[in-house]
Parts: sequence; C-alpha cells; structure tokens
Amino acid sequence: MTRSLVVRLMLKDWYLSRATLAVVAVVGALSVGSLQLQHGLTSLLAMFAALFATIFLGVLLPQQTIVNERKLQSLAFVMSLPISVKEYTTAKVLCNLTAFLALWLPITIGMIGTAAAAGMFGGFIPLMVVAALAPFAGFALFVAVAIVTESETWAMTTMAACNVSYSLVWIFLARVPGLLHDLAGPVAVWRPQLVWTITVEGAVTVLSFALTFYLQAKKTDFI
Amino acid sequence: MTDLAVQLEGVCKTYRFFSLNDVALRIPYGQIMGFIGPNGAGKSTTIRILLGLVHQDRGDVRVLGRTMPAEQVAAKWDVGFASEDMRLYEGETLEWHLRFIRSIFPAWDQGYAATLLKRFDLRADHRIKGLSHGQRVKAVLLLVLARRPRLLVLDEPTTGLDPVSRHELLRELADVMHDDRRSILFSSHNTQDIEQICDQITFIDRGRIIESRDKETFMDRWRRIRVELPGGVQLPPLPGVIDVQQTGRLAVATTNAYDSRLPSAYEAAGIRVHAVESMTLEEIFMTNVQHSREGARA
Repeated sequence: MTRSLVVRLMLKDWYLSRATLAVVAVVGALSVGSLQLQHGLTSLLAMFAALFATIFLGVLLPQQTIVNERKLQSLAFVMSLPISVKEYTTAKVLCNLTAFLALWLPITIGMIGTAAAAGMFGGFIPLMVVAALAPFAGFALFVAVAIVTESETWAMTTMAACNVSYSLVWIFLARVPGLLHDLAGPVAVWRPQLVWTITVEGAVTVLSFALTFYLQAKKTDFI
Repeated sequence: MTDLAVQLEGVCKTYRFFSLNDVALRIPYGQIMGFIGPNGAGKSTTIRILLGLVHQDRGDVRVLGRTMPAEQVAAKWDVGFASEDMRLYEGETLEWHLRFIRSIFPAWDQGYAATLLKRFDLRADHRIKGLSHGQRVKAVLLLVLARRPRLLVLDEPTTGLDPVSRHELLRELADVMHDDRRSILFSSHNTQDIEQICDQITFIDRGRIIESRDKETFMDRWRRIRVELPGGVQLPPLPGVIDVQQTGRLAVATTNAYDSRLPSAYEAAGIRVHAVESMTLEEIFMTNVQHSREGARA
C-alpha cells in the first residue's frame, strides 16, 4: 500500500473540509465552556448544541469528502492517481474517522467530564454517553453507505433513517421505567436498556467500517 | 519484453444492457492511437478497463508491461488520464492543484508546468469555478502532462468545447505530443480531431472493435470509385468492394482494400470509371460502422 499517498489524500480531504471542522470546533468549545457555568438552562442548551454539532459533523464530513467528490465528478481525478480501490477506501475511512474523532472526542469528553466533575449532572451521564455515541454510529453508517453504494440518494436515505433512529432511541429509552427518575439523581445508573443501546451503537459503528472494506474488496467496477 | 505500451486481448465485459466483446487493442510505444466510436460504443468502458477501474470478465490487459487490474497502482505512476467528465476541485485554485499533484509525483516537471501554463494561457491563482470549460480541460491536461507520463489516456477531451477552444487545444496537443517516448490513446467521436493528431486508428461500435490500423493504411485502402454503367451492364462483384450505391446508370463503389487494379477491372468489364476519390476519416468511419452493423444483422 502506498502509505504516503493515502496520507496525502487524507490531508487533502481535511483541507477541503476545513470550514466544517472549524465551525464544529468553535461550537463544541462554546458548548463545553457553557456547561462549566453550571446554569440549568444554559447547560441544557450547551448539551443540545454539542449534540447538534456532532450530528452536523457526522453528516457534512462524509458529504463533502465522499458524496460530493462523486457528485461533482472529481472522483475520476482522484482515481487517476496511482492508488487502488483499497487505498482509496482506506484514505476515505481514515480521513473521516480521524477528523470526526478529533472533534467528537474532545466535545464528548469535555461534556461528560464537566458533568461528572461538577457532580450535579451525575444521573445524566449514561444518557449523555448514549447521545454522544448515536451521531458516531450514524456517521459510521453514512460513511459506509456513501463509499459502498456510490449513490447520493442512498447516502441521503441513510442520513434520514439515522435521524429517525435517534428519535426511536429516545422513545425507547423514555419508556424504560425509572429512567427519568435516575436522570435527576446525583449518581449514574447504568440500566440494562442503556447498556444494550450503547452496545448496539458500538456494533453499528464497528460493523459499518468493517463492511466497507469487505464490500469494497468485492467490487469489480469503480467509477 | 513487449514493444507495446497497451495490449488488450480478448477482453469481455458484460453489463445488463451493454457488453464489450472480444476487444483487442494494441498501442506500440511512441504511437498516438485514435479511438473512434459513436456514443455508447464502449470507448469509456475500454478505457476504464485499461486503467484498472473496471475489471474485465475475461481477457488479458497489459499496460506498460503491467497486468491490469492487479498491477494498476504500479502502472498508474506512468499513466496520465484526462476525460471530458473529469472535474477538479471547484473551490480551489489551479495553484493548489499543481502543488497537490507535484507532492505526489517525483517526476513532476515544474519548468514544463510553467511553460504549459503560459502556452495554455492559464492563471495559477484562478479558482477552478471561475474557469471556462475550455480552460478547465486545459488545466486538467496541464496537471497530467507535467507529470511526464509514458502513457497518456485522453477520453473525449474535446467534447463540449466551442470550435475556437477545440482548435486551440488540438494545436497545443499536437505540439506536446511530439515526443517519441510517449504513447497516447485519444478517444473521441469526432473524426476530425483524430485525423489531425493520430497515427493509429481503431474503430469501435456496439462493444466490438471493427477495424484497427495505422492512419496511412486507412487512408490508402479506403476509396470511393465513381463509375458509369453502359446499358445492360451490371457492376461485377469485386473483392474488397464493400458497398455499392447505384442511381440509374451512375454508381459509387466503396472499397476498404483499394488496389490500382480495381478501376482497371471495372474498365475491363466495359464500365467507365469517372473518378477514384480519397475518403475522409469520417466517411470511412460511417461506412465502416454501417458495413459492420449490416454484417451483424445478416
């Protein structure tokens, strides 16, 4: 594998997504900063802003680096370079994953860490983990579908399905007896339904990336 | 060691509504091959197979001595590809693209890039979205040519250009193509472009190669013979005559294997030969496609 070329393709995609990365970094930093004020409404707004910023990142990053490259016909330019489909896939997955993690991790750790350190949102932490992992799983699925299907329609359909799934997760969790009561408490309560949801989110993330490489290796037509 | 830059043998690829059948294509080193076919003939599929982007169902593909698609990465270091539908990143400048490509290819020729920039009348600080279609095509060609590839694959680069831009581009291409070490595959449905710059020609139609020769042989072998038939005399079937159009006593015979004995043979049969005319590449192509399709129907 031509490692240096994979790295160059990753650098190119980071550069092309710089505006999105900058906006999410600013919103993320403001959200974490606002949560430290420990003011009820501000903290709630900060949590929503952080969630929306990561959802926004999870959608726009694959859209700009994968979907648009095909839609705007720059893919032929990339594939004329000395790379294989495997290297292209590696570059796209790594570029998206590293850029996403570079912002998602600090935002998530910042939010949950602040809540834990303050000791006033302890009961909220399990739900915050579920909420933080949902955009990550959606992002992984979106990247996989965008790369494998090479179709904007399928990518958009996946994005819509992910958005609906977020709501379904909340509806599912809202029906868990005692969960709302736990939220108000000072200590995190890891109910089986929450652990199960986190496991599903993790599985979707890992499977999406694994299937991307598997299905790309099976392809005989590219472009 | 082969003296062929590109060698396709028995290549087949089947899609639901289209198939490429038993395609054979050979481009010797240093030659410019014109690849002509109507829209949907299979030119782009053949080119994508050649670049390893589409895998053939059957057949052997070798590019610069490398087996495709298995060795596509090694081959593509020396292959420059530009197509009509290839777009650069709209929001970035040409300079950004030049830096990107230069960072990848060690053989990048900065002096040549500067020369081409001037010759193509391009500004490096211009964003791609501000360029006309003709300028975008030239920008892609600049990025490809300054890599100094041993094989250049151009898939309909002149499509969509206005006549002035097309003429300018072909003039520049003809200049830069005078390099004995570089092999070129130039695909187009415009026979005038091919006639202007190529020395080998291949016709493709409905997924099949219908003829492949050097340009001189094409132009020498194809002739139109205008004759006048005396009353009661039929035009005799002669070898190499593939089409006859008759209106009253006047007839036009088209041959793809012209021999100076052919007019003599008509005259010997009492037929008056009015003229033996050379054909343009477009006329040869049209007749060839028509003949091939009639042969397929028969």
